Amino acid sequence: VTRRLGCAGALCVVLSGLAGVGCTIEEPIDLDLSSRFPIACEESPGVLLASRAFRAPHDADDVEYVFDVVRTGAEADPRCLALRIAEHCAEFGCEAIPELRRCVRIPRATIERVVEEAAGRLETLSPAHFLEGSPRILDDVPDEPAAIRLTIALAPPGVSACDGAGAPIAEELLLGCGYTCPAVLGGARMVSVDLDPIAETCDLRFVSACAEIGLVTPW
Amino acid sequence: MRWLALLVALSGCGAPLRATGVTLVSVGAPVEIAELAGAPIDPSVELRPVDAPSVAAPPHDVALAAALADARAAYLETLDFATCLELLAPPGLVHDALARSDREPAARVITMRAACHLAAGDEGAAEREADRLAVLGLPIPDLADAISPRAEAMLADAVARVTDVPGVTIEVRSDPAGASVGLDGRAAGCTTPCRLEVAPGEHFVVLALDAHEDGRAVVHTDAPAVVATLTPSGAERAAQQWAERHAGAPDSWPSLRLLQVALRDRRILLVTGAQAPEGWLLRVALSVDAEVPRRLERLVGPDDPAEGARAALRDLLSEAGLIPPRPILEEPLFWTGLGLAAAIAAGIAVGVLYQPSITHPVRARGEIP
Repeated sequence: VTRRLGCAGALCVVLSGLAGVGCTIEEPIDLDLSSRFPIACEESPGVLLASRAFRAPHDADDVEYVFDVVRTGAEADPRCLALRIAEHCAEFGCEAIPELRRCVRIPRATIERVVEEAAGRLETLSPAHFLEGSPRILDDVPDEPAAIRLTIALAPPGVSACDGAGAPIAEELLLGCGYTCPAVLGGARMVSVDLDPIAETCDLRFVSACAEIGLVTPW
Repeated sequence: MRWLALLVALSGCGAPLRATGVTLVSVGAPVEIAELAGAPIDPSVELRPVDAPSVAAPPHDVALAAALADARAAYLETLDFATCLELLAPPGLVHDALARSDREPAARVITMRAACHLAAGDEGAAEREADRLAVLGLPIPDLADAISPRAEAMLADAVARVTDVPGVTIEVRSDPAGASVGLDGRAAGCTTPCRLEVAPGEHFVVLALDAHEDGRAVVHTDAPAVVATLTPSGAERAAQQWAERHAGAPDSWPSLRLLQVALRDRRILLVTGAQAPEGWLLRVALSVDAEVPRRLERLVGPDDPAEGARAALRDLLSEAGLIPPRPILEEPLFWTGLGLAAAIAAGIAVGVLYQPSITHPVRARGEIP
């Protein structure tokens, strides 16, 4: 990791040295969610998987953005293709770090308001449309090759994916999934959840596989 | 051994055993000098407090006043003009008055002499006295009730006559040079050697130099040069001169030189003070032999001016080498500097050696770019 210390950093070091206290410098990373990809998979031709949120019995559930950090290992570079990540993890094994899972709940009212503003056209929306503000989802990233995964899932009242110690999310709750490019994330200023689909048809099977990488037996 | 000597020097153990005497004088300082001298500043210096010389009341010239009164009585009441002239005959009467810058009494003596000569029928002598008054530039005294109108007219004529005559240059020198010149009872505004333009005739010159007896000379424009040798004065006269000339600006170099003579000490420490908004502005001057005096100014708080004054004295004496410098370990600046240097060194060491922890928090961007 290249450590770029500005004047503030240097001053922090000197002052903390004089005061005998530790010093932490933050180099934030922006996680861009503006790609449509994570909610672009179809349940059937012309029907987005995300439309599950508006069908009974799920039309009363909130939606949850579940962020996982998935170690991809240093053996090889899988490059920025979802298919390659899947192959890479199948070969070398990947590991989602349970303690780094973070969940951001999107209230039902927000979902409905955004879809209404888009005149019901889900295919024009990205995960960023439903997120309010810029929530801090991780305090730090591992100093090794990893990817951040966004799994979008239904969240019934009182239920959160973060309650399960990093357990897989039930398939009937899944709405979408996406990855950032695997990299040593500390060296980046911005990463995007925008990898391409791994198959010609991006369906529930893909989303389920995407959401489980590093959690269960390699796919 | 060198290290041992250095250690001794630093710890201040090398102070001389015999105390050096310094006379301490205070003029307007907020601290009593006895109080300053009471608490020893350093074992190597003994401060001797002495009161600053004060101005004695100017001696009243009883002889002159009596002579004038008697001469007036002889002239007006007994018409004994010879006695009048005899009473006013001593030349010292006029010269002493002029030396004291008492020009009016001197003028009265000469005027009365002119009046008495005229009354005695010696018109020539009366005119000489009138000319003398005019040449000395003395004012015609108001003696309308004492002298005849004729005598008064003679004096006025003499003044008019002398005024019309061109001036003559006289040269005044002294050994040693640098004496202030007084001419006919007034300051001439120059120091020897100097040239002065005067009315033709006889003039009276007084030369004043610190720590010397005043020089007097009568100079006539026919031989227009004065050379006076000034003899060193005693301590009493020097004290009188200091009080007359330097009490207003006591810490000047000439003042301190004169104090050395007046107080019979070659080391003088003078403390003066002026009230300032934040306390006292203390001025300390140290004069040793003929060296240029060392000076120090310090603002001392109103609560404990004595402590501030003692610190100022200590610093000045130390600067002059009369007391050893304060051991470095007792200098507050030393510890401040040491602490600062240590802090900077620690800061640099930490800056070089310390690796700060760097975290990479991740924020999800909700807005659409």
